[in-house]
Amino acid sequence: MPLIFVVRRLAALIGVLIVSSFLVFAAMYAAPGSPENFLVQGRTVTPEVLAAIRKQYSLDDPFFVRFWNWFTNVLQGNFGQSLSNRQDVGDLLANRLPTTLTLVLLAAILIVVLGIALGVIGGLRDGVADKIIILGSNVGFAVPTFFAALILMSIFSVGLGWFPVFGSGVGVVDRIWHLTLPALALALPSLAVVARITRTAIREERHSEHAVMASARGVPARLVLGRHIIRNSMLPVSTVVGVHIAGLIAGAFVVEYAFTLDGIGTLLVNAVQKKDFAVVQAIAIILVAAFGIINLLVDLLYASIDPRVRLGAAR
Amino acid sequence: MLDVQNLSMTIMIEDAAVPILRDVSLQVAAGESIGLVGESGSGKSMTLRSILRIEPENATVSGRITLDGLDVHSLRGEALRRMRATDVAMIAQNPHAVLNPVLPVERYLIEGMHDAQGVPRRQARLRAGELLEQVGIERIDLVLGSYPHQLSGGMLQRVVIAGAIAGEPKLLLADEPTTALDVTTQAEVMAILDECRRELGMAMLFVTHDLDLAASVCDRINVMKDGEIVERGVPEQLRDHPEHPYTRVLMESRPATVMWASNREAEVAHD
Repeated sequence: MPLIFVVRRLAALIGVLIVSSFLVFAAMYAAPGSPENFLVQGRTVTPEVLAAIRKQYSLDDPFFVRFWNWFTNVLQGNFGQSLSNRQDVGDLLANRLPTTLTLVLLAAILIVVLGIALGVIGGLRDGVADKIIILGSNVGFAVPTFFAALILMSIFSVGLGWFPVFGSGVGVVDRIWHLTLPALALALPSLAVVARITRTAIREERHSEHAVMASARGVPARLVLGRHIIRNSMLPVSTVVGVHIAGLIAGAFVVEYAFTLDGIGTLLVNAVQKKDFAVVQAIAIILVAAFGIINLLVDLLYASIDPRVRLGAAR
Repeated sequence: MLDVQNLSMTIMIEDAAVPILRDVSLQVAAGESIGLVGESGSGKSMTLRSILRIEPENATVSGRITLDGLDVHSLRGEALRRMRATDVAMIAQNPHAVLNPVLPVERYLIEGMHDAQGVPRRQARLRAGELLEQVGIERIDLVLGSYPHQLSGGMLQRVVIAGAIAGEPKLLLADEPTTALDVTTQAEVMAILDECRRELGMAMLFVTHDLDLAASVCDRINVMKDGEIVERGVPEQLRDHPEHPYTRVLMESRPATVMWASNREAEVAHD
């Protein structure tokens, strides 16, 4: 893959991060309420105390100075202190991040493996299997995440007792065991979409001239399937998979809340309620960065599959 | 060699059986070039496709197609695959659709020789270059490493012809091989196809809407209309004394491939 292609995408990502960090910072100050109101927690205080608080948190500096101070700190990995409990935001995140990352990773694996596998089966079979997959994907897409979480819990945790109801576990195996149901609940709508898109793409590629002509040239069916039908149908699928995996990070908070997991999502919900600016800003920036990085990876994957993307358009 | 007897085909379109072919019979002897001429929708492409068993999934086919006595429609699995790989090769209308857009040209040729015909990979790679030379491509390595979207239709159709003649099949099925190309390359590609066919002594079933073009490369011509063969004969006979009114219409509406004709004469003189 040409290096220039990678460099260009990286530069675009950095641009997006700079612009969005500014927007994140600005949006927090455009929101109603102010941090000092939170700090005094509704008590009536003298203007002098308020002024002292504002000074302590540098709230009186001009906007751009504050933004610059925050931005340069973030670049050094310093997200500041939580307003509510004075803890380092970086430490808070570091404690919560493994749970959320494992959750998202498990969900992503489910989406890619199950979504594509079901889509391929649905695309290749015409009978009952295909009908079941279409029905399942409709249901999976229509059921809201929190509801899916409740159903899964009541069947597999309460009913069958196969999985724990809450908590995120200790150690790798235990963690995966604890996070399987939450990941499934989180993955379900995206899994349904990916299965559906894969099915359609496979059906289209099955009747594409190059697949038909490969069969007509005597290429063995299993090679036609892998090299012509599945490989080419992964083009639209990879785009959809990327967008959905990136979206998982933002959607994780509903599942974390439902399964009482101490991940980034729960932290975000609490921080928003307390107007804990530093934490919300840090999480927002991490979400944007994760979204950007996943999309970058998808772009690179797409370019590696499709020469028309990496080598430019026709003639 | 190829014997098509009473081939009929219907396709189900929204619960209605639409007849596509009606009692089509034609023969191609070894080394012979036979034309199948008609306007689009007359069923000529479907005739070709049913010889390779790549008719649409919702088609019902009856009749008998034999290739050197072998009933094509009784072939299944490995036997069908081997027939497609070694006995019959097809050149379709749009080369940009025939090659997989995400694989380089070299893979197309190697796939046909190695995966389909069982030629060892290294040998197939060497042969790919020779074949491109044979179809008049000059910058061979460049073309082998290119992706389909980087090459012109004429260049790609030569690649497809190279792939088709690689296994020296008994029969070439050419489905409007020059229609999607621009006029100047049409004549070149047609000349290359005709030359390769004669050199290797392959038979050809040539489908076109251009009666004049068919007349210049075919020994005998079948005129097709609405899924039926309405007239057959040698080119001179069809040209000078067309019997069926449709043949006359085709003669008069011909888009005169003058380029091709003059090119051909020059070549004959050169030989």
